[in-house]
Amino acid sequence: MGKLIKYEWRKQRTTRVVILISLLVGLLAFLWGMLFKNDVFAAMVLLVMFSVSLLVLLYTGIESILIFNRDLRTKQSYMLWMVPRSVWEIVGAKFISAILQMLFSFAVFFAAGCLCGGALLYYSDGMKSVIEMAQIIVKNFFEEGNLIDILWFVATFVIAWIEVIMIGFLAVILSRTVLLHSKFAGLFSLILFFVINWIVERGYSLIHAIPLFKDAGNLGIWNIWDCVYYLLISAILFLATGWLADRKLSV
Amino acid sequence: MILECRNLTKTYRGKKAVADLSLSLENGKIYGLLGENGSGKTTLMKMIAGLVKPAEGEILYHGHPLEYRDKAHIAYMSTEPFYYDYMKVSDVGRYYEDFFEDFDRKYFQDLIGKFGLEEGMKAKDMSTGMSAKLKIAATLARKSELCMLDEPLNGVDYKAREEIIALILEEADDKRTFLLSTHLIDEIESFVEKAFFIKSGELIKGMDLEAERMASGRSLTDVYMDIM
Amino acid sequence: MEYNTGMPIYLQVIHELKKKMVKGELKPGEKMPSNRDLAVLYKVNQNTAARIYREMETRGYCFTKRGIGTFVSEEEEMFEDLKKEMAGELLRNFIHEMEDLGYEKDDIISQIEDYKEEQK
Repeated sequence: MGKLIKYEWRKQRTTRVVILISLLVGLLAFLWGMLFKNDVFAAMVLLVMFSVSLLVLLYTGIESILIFNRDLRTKQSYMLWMVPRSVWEIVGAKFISAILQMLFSFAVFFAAGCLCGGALLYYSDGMKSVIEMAQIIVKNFFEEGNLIDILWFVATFVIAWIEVIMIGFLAVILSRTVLLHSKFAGLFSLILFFVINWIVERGYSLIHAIPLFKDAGNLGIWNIWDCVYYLLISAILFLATGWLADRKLSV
Repeated sequence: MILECRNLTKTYRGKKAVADLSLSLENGKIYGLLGENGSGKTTLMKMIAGLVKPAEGEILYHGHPLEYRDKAHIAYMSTEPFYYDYMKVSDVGRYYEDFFEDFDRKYFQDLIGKFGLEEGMKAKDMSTGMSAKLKIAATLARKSELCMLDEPLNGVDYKAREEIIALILEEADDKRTFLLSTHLIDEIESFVEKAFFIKSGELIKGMDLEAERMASGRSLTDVYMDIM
Repeated sequence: MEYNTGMPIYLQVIHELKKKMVKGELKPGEKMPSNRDLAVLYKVNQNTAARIYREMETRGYCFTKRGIGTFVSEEEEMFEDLKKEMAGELLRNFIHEMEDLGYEKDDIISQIEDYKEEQK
């Protein structure tokens, strides 16, 4: 499994390099703005970095779906499917590396955000206020229990995004198996992607309509049942994807 | 018997690529798979390699239904290049070493040298001939029980062709089985033991070469011209 | 080696090896190529190579030492016989072909003499 993940991880290396380089450029531009007291420029850079980071996070997920599609449609698919590993391991490795890639993007953007924040404070009030801010954050997070809230928020976000990627995987595998002989397999899988998404969201609203779940799972502002729900759906989507690949897939 | 295909059928867009095809392979022999383009040779090989699922019929490997673990003992080389775009020759070696226990890295490197390739060359940028050599080196360096080569002599010059044949003959001992498809019937005439003729997805004849020569004085080419 | 693809390959290789023995390219007692090398040398598969040695062994052209390899027979007589046999075979074919063309035995002999004159 480790080796499979290694090669899946490698497939998105270019994207990581691009992310790192553009972040570096952004950071340098921001620092330049700070150094020369060009506040408008620095603010612009921050704004651009923030919006780009959102887009990139979105793209990271989509990219793993695109790679999965390529690994089913082109001759390169032989590389993946000729290895003596079960379908579950292969799809699992893809899934895990998609998550890793997303966490990577998330982590570097978060780090970049911290750096910008730190730099902002440093240039306006000096080192002392940076340390003070860090202390406040630490105190707030660790001593007053807000950390758990934040973690839940991140977890819910990540899990919800994982579920979207899983829908993408299922849509792709559907287009390469049961829809294979249809002329509009690509279009169908896109429609399917939205349809499955819609169904999942409907299920979500239905569950929220049940008072028991609504009240019982509340943990601060984040609902534990949201995570459970998305995890469950992801598991079902994963099982469906693997099952279809195992039974029907021809590359 | 190492492999048995029973009534295999595969349909693509309503057209039968392989139709009710049954054949079996014995251990330690070299088989030829002959037929025109699109006759179903590649589909058959890909089914045995576990890349394509038959719509009907079954494949038995050493008597059990083919499963993913058998890919550890079955090597398949496709006609087209299939390595990832970023891969250099050395990456291909590492990939095979990572996934195939029967891969002999040292032998792979020997072959690479013999073919005039270098570890740092990028698979994507190779000429047809070099690419064909890389594929064959990687596939043959797997000391697999069953080795399927789809058009191994395509796109390479005469000298390389002879080298590839020599390699196959060296490797094809009594423990390894080879299944080769080719258009160059003359080239394989002297060493293939049994040939399968495939037309429109159907197996129309299995021919034991030496027995046929003995019985009727007909060569592989003669029979091919007769029935195809 | 060029083969007549309508004739069993293993017989053609045996014929070639016999010729080498008669010509002295394979000497009595000399070690012969391994199955693998023979296969590559004559572009046959290793099963055919094994068959070739099996056949040659039963006819007494060579012998196998277990685990060491196959060796050319050491019996000098056999080489003489082999030479005669091959010459006889050639002659038989030649005469058969000439007779097909309508030559009588005496005509054939005079033809050969004429041919030898011309070659000088």
